[in-house]
Amino acid sequence: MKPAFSWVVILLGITSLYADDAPTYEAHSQIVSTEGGVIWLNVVSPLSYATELPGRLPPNTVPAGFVHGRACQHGLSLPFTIDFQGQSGQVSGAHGDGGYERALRHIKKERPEVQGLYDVQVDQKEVRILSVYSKLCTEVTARAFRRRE
Amino acid sequence: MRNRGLYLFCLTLALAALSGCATLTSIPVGLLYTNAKSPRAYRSATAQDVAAKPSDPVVTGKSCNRSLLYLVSWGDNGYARAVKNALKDHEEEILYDVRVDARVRSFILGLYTDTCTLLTARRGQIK
Repeated sequence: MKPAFSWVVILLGITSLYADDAPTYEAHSQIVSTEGGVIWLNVVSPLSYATELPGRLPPNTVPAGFVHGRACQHGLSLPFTIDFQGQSGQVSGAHGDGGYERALRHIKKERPEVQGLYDVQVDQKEVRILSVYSKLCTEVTARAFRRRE
Repeated sequence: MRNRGLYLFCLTLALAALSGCATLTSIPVGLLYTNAKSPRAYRSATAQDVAAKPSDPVVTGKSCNRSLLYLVSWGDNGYARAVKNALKDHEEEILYDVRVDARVRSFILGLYTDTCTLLTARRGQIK
């Protein structure tokens, strides 16, 4: 009984050496859903955006109200008639720029006087119909500031 | 009639199996149709960034999305909606000291789920 117990203690000691490290933060961008064989993929997705805080706005600027910008990726998945060894046969493609840069360009286009944003809220909108069509949008809602006149 | 009930039960179980763990993500699953918004990032203000006063009220805002029978999901549990609900008629003011929680509820094998963003903050004046 004793040798068996010793072996268990040794094995537990060895396994602890190979235990997984604690999970760490990983940047995670969100790409629109694609199913099966991807025949076309050309998308941009949001990754990170260090936004401005209201107490640290550049000098000689004043608040300029609320703004809203949006950027979307589109995906299409279609059933494929040939059955690949029992797996569901689908081909898909995705296209579009759903990144922060595009959403901010959209804001700049609508409000050219805007110099920057603060109090920024970022949401993600998903529209999906029958797993055939999907759309994933990055929506930026924020307060803007402009140069003092 | 009994066979039909059994068929519906099996179909529900199959849909549940197909959806896997997806019911507990921020965007709920809808096999037929999905139109839902979820939170991604919000760098909120701190007390130093605004003209904070001890009398600033504590406000709450909530935003939710829902899914039913794994078939349809809808709603908006994004930050923008929660912030708008918290500010209500005081859009000229700003939120600071913001705490955000996520609440997920799922009933009867996930046949109904709702995912909410619960925001608590202080409402103050912009500097």
